[in-house]
Amino acid sequence: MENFQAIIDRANLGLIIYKNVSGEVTYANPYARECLLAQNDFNVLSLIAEAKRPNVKYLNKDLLFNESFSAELCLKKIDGQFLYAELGTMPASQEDDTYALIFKDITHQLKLRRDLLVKQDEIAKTYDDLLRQNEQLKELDKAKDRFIALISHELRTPLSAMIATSEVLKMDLVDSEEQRKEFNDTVYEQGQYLLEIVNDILDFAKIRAGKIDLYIENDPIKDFVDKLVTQFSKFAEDKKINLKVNIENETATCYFDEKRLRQIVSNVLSNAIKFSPRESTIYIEVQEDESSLFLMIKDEGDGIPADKTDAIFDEFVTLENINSHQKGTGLGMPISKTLSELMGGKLRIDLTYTDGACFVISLPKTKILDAEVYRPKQTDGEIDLDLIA
Amino acid sequence: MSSEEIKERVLVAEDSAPNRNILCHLLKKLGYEVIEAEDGAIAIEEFQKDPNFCLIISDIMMPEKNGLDFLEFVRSQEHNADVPFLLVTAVAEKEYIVRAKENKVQGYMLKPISFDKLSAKLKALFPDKKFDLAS
Repeated sequence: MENFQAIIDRANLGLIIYKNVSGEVTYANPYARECLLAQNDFNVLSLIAEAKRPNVKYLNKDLLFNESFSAELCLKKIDGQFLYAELGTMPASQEDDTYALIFKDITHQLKLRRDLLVKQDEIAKTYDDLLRQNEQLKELDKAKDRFIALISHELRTPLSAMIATSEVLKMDLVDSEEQRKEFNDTVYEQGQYLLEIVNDILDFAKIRAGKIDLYIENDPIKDFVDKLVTQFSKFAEDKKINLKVNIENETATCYFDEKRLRQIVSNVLSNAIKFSPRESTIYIEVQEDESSLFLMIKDEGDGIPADKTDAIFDEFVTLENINSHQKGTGLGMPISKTLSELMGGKLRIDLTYTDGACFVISLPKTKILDAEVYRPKQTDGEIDLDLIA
Repeated sequence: MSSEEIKERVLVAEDSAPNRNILCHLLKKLGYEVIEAEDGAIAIEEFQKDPNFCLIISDIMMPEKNGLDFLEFVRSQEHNADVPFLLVTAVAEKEYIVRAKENKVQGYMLKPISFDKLSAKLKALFPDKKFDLAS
C-alpha cells in the first residue's frame, strides 16, 4: 500500500479525491496540485469556469458527480487561468461518499495544435496567393502576346499601304498627274503615321522600363497653348471645328517638359477633334490654384460614359479589344496619363462636365520632383550627348 | 462581245483607307467595277443590297464586323453564297486561317498586295477571263 502511494505521488497524471455534493477535496496528488496551482486546501467546484466560448466544453457539476470521461475539457486553475485537460471522474468510495478525478494537462498540446492550424492556414493562404500570382502572370503573358499581335497588325497596315502605293507609282500605273500626287501624299502620310506608331511603342516600352528622360523647365503656358492650337487649327478646320482658347492668367508659368506635354495635349486634342461633330467648338482653357495649373480640353461630342473612363487609361483593356479593332495602338491615353504623372501632374476626365468630354491636365507650379529632371530641353530630334556617360 | 464589255463587280471591304484606295485602284486597272466598304457591317449591307459580285476581297481586322464574320455571312446566304472570296490581311493567326478554310475561302493573302500578286491570283481564279490593263 505504501508503494501504491509512492506511484501516485510520482504519477504524470492528476488525481483528486473529493466529497460528493460539497466538492471538498480530501486528497490531491502533487501533479494535480502543481497543474492547478493548488498549494492549500481547495474545492473542486472552484475548478468550474464560466462557460464563455461556444466550441469549448467546460467542467460542470454533472461531470464531477457522475462517472464521465472528456477528451478535452476546460478547467479554471486556482489563479483563475484556464487549463485544458483530458479528464475522467468516477465514484471512489461508497463508504466516504467520495469521487475521484483523474486528469492529464493537455494545454500545451492544444496550443501546439492550434499553432499548427494557424501555420497550416498561413501555408494555404500563401499557396492561394502563389496560384493567384501565377494566374496574373499568365494573363500578363497573354496580354503581351495580344500586344505583339496588335502591334504587328498596326505596323503592317501603313507599311503595306506604302509598299503597294509606291509600287503603283513605280510601275506608273497612275491615271493622271492628280492621282500621282494623291498617291505620293499617301506614301508620305502613311510614313508619318508609321513613325507615330513606332514612337508610341518605344514610349510605352520606355515607360514600362522606367526609362523616360524628362527635361522640365518653368515655361509660360500661353506660348505653349498658342503654338499647339495653331498647329491643330488645320485639322480642326477640315471638320469646321472652332478651337477656342481661354487662359485665365496669361502670364502663368508652370513646370513641364515641352515635348512630353505637347505629346499629351496633341493626343487629347486630336481625339477631341476626331470625336467632335462637325461645326462644333472645342474649348482649351487654363485655370490655376496655389499649387497647380489646369489645362482643360472640352469638346461637344458624345462624351465618355463614367464606366469607360478607367478603360481609356488602361493599356491592357485596349489590348483585350483587339478583335473589335479600332485604328491605332490605343496606347496614346495610357502613355499620356503616365507622362503627366511623371511630370508631377495628372491627367483625368472631369465627369461633372456633361456637354461632351472634358480632359484635365494638371501641372505643378513648383519643383516637386527629383532635381535631375529640371534641365533645359533638347532640340527636337537631336540626341543629348551629355546623357552618354 | 457586248457581255464582256459589262464590267464585273468586285466588293472590297477594308477599313484602312490608303490600303483600300490602292487595292480598288488595282482592281479598276484590271477592268473591274469596284464597290467599297469601310468595315464588315457596311460590306454586309452592300451584299444584302445586291449580291451579284464576281469576287469579294476583304480585310480581317476591321471594326464592327470583321472579315471572317462577313465571310460567314456571305456563305450563309441564298444568293451567290459561293462567290469567290479572298481574305487580304496583315495577320496570319492560326485560328483565323482555320475559320477561313472552314468557310471555303479561295485565298488567304498577306499584305502588302502587289499588282503581280493580285493579277496572278485572279488569273488562277478566272482562267478563262482575259485581263487587259485598262487605260
